[in-house]
Amino acid sequence: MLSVTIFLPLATALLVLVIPAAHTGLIRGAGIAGAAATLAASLLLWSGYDSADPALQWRQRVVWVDALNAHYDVGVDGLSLPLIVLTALLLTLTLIYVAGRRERAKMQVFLFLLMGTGLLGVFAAQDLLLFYLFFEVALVPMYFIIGIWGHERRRYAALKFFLYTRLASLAMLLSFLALYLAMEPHSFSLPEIARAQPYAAATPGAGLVLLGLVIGFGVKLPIVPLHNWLPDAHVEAPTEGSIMLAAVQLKMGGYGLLRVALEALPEVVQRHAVALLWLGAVGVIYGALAALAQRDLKRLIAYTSVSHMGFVTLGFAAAALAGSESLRRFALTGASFQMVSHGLLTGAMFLMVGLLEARAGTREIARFGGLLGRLPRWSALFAVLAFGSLGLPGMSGFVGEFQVLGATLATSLGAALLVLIGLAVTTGLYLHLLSRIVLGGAPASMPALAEPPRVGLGIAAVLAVLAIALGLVPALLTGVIAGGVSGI
Amino acid sequence: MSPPPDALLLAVPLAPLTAMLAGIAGRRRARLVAWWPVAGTALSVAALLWLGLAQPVAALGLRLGGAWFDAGALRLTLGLRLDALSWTVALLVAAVALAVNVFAAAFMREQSERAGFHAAMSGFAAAMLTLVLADSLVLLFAAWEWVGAASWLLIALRREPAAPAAAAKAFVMTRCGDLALLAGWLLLALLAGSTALDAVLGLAARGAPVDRWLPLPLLLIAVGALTKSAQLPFSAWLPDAMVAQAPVSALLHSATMVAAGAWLLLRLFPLYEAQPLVLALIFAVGLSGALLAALVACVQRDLKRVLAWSTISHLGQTLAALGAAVPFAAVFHLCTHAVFKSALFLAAGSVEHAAGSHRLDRLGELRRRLPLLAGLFAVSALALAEVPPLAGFYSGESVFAAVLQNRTAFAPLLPVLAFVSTFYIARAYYATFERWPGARGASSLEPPRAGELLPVLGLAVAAIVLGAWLAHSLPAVLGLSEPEPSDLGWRITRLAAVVAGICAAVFRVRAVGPAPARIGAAAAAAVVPVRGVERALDRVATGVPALVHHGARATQTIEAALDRAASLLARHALRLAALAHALDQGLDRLGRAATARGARAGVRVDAIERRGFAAGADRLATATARWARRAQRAQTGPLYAYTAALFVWLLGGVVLLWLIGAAAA
Repeated sequence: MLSVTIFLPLATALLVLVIPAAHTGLIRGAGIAGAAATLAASLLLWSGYDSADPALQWRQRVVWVDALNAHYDVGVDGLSLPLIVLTALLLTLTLIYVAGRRERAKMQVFLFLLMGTGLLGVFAAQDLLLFYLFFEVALVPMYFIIGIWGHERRRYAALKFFLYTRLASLAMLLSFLALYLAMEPHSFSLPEIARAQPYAAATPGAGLVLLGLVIGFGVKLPIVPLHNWLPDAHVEAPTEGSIMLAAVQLKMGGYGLLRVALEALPEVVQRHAVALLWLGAVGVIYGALAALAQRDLKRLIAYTSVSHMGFVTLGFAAAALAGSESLRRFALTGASFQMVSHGLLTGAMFLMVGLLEARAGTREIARFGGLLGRLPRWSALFAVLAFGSLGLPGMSGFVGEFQVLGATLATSLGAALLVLIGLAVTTGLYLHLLSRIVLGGAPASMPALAEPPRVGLGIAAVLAVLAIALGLVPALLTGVIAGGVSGI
Repeated sequence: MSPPPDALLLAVPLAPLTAMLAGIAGRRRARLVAWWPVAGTALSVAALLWLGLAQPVAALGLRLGGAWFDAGALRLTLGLRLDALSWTVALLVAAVALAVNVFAAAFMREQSERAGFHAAMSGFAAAMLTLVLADSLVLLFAAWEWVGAASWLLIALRREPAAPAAAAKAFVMTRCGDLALLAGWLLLALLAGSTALDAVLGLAARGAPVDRWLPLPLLLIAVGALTKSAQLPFSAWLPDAMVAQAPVSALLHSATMVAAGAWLLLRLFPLYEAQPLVLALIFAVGLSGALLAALVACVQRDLKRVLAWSTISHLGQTLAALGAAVPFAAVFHLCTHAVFKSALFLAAGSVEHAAGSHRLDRLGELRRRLPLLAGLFAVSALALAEVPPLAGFYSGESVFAAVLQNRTAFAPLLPVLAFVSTFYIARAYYATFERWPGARGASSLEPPRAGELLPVLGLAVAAIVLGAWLAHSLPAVLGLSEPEPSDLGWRITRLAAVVAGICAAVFRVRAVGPAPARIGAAAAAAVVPVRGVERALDRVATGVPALVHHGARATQTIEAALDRAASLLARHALRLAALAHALDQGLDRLGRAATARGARAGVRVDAIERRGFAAGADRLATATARWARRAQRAQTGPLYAYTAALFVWLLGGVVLLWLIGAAAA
């Protein structure tokens, strides 16, 4: 069942290749049907998941490359399952969002579905070589999505994206190889590595192995000095690309940190956790400050992503530092929850910005004002999402953030103070944005506007409703996460 | 058959919530839209009364709720709790909200934003009642944030140029305090292992290892409470928030939301009791804030801003009573202040409606034409001025007695405060309603509507009778100890201060009008830099954002440096790629030369092979070229070719490895 979920998008993608390009409707329909079937399959996985059992479920393991002792090994636990469902959901919604476009439909649907298989595979793979393969399969379509459908400076952005992710993948691969070679007999199997703990003793290379992983996943997450590709990639990517990039692709980094780094190198992470904690805290405040300086709405949202994902780094580091098992779970649950929540809220935020841009032809904040009067639906939804993003209780952002914050408070008051300041800046940022573009008067240069299409607003509303549901009843998610967290 | 108490308790916050949803759903029904909040809050009042009449209030002890979710060993709970204290305050909140909503129905009749406004008022009532009834720190915090969001919305909805900025300022400033509160309650909950109020309050009895950790979270929570209650130095948002409509000022920014700070400290008082240093800090902030804000109120030129500073001052007194470790006085003053201050704000709203302004120098002589309104304002003002036997007199006495009992050295400041308070409120009344030199009166007056006057009348009557009644009944109900009553000498002193304040204000305004006295201001400035305080607070409120903007600009420098580094890398990478390309071409040429030589050497072999192998290769080559052209048509540069090549290489490598593995097996 799990393999079916993973490869359904790929199978659909191959099917789409066969359909003649002229049948746009058929191509779009097949793409949406494939994605929806994937979503249904992932929900079946969810319903069949036993959250009381911390072991990997839906496990499937067959020999893949015998000479390397590499296996096709997939399985899910509470950490990966929510991300799998999130991926399938966002894939479906994104394909619905682009359904009206006629040009280059075949290639677009193909690339998105291919990316879907890569992402689902990353969240399910239990073998590092397989993980790496899926990681690349998820990334490559993104270069093309940015490069082909992007905005004016797409080549620059795609090049930057290419360089950063390439170097990161290299660092990650080297660390994977180091883990592989340290195992006796050599093995890529993550559960085996987690059991054997090849770097448990303070070996000299251990720090470097962790560094490779932190660079590899930190670029994707992003962790703050490694984030510079993200604003450009987001701004130049088409809306549908931004949604997938923010909502799901960044989670590969966070998931990798929790799954690979924390499982394979817990002692090493613990040794360097204080530095990582501060990196996370700096990320929270840095992303918020950088967002505040932006004039481009999309770039602003991109930087808030940096800030929000800082909580994942924080949770990761706080979990390693935590003095008690209870605190550790608190941190990990928070980080996992934050990933899902960010996927919903920021995915919706990018969609909203895309809808506005499609109507207005500009993203410049200064050219908007008083949208409440012109676009009441868009404005109301945008305000709800903004309050959700700044962590208003009752929406999902709060649940993840307060848990990570609690764990940080218990480990380092200084880092927690930084995070609190970052949150205050984030509040100011969104409120400033709301009073600027939703309220207030319209500037003379504001383009004529009409309410965005219902489909787009509907998709954003679905995401907002999910964020509210998770905010009011976090147990929907925490119950599942708890099983996975206790396994790490 | 009476409904089950649990359902009644749930109905208290849910009725206004339902009213909000109904208001949103029926936003086009213009006639109905204003009555939803009235119905919602009326139901809340009814449910609370029913609960209070079904059994003695003092014996109330209703809990409902349970686990929300577990995170590690921390149990997050949601729940409501009805005891004598929360019943009293919830009833106060619901009743004031009811009065204000009735007022708003008439007051907002012509406003275009009224559908959203009334829905937000319902939402606020629901959140505020949840805040008061919450039995869990996390629910209390959630409600705390919701009332902040409602406040933002209600200020922002006003169609005034200054409204968006004021709304943002209010939310951001209070949110900074909220974050301190968040850190504080998280620490408390982690110590207690649960967010349930009982578990948290149980920390007080846990002894040595926990005690050492308690001051920090309690201090953080106190900071949150002081911000919400607009105490110094976090008060700058409240006067700006006066840009909102009068009902908002009456309900949120005087009676309920800003009182949430005091409420939170009251709820956690068993923990604070054991922290004399934190209590002393709260007392110091409260009392000094009360004095300074009262002085600032004396020089305001705007009726609503006088009342705003007065609110800060009175909340300061409430907190001072708490800081003096007499929670009874705090609850008492909280209740009476909510009543007379909301009456004053609503009356000020009516004045604004009738005369078209709330600037003191544009008002005057309104008593002749609005006698009832003038009377109601006067009664409420006298209640505020602690004139016996009105409400403020009793609660003010209680606050004074509390200070006298536990912070005796500061007691003489309170008659001074009474003088100043009386001065500013008498000045406000006289400048608005009486004749003074230069008073323009209002050229055209719109008579206030009955719908506006009725709730003000109700609140004013409450301001008359509530003090004596509560002084009589509240101690028994709450089971809190009253402070020792002060002796006759002090009472006479305080009464004298009040009379002096009234006289001073009347003489002053009669002689020169409401303009702040130059001599008086100079004298005041010598003692306390009143204007300076106001300006300094504003500077804090604008300076912090400025600092943040500096930080934001600094990040742009870093971003630019990172951009440069990336493009440098990109250039080198491209150069490297060009080098690789050149190398590739060189190898290619070499290969071609070799092929040519080979071809010359083996013409016959070549001739044979050409028909078979080369034809296939040709086909492959043309296919490749076609693909390459297609890729180029898709506007891809060499970069994408590299990417694709890399990708294919990777997949090919994996397949190859697999084949090797399979072969080896």
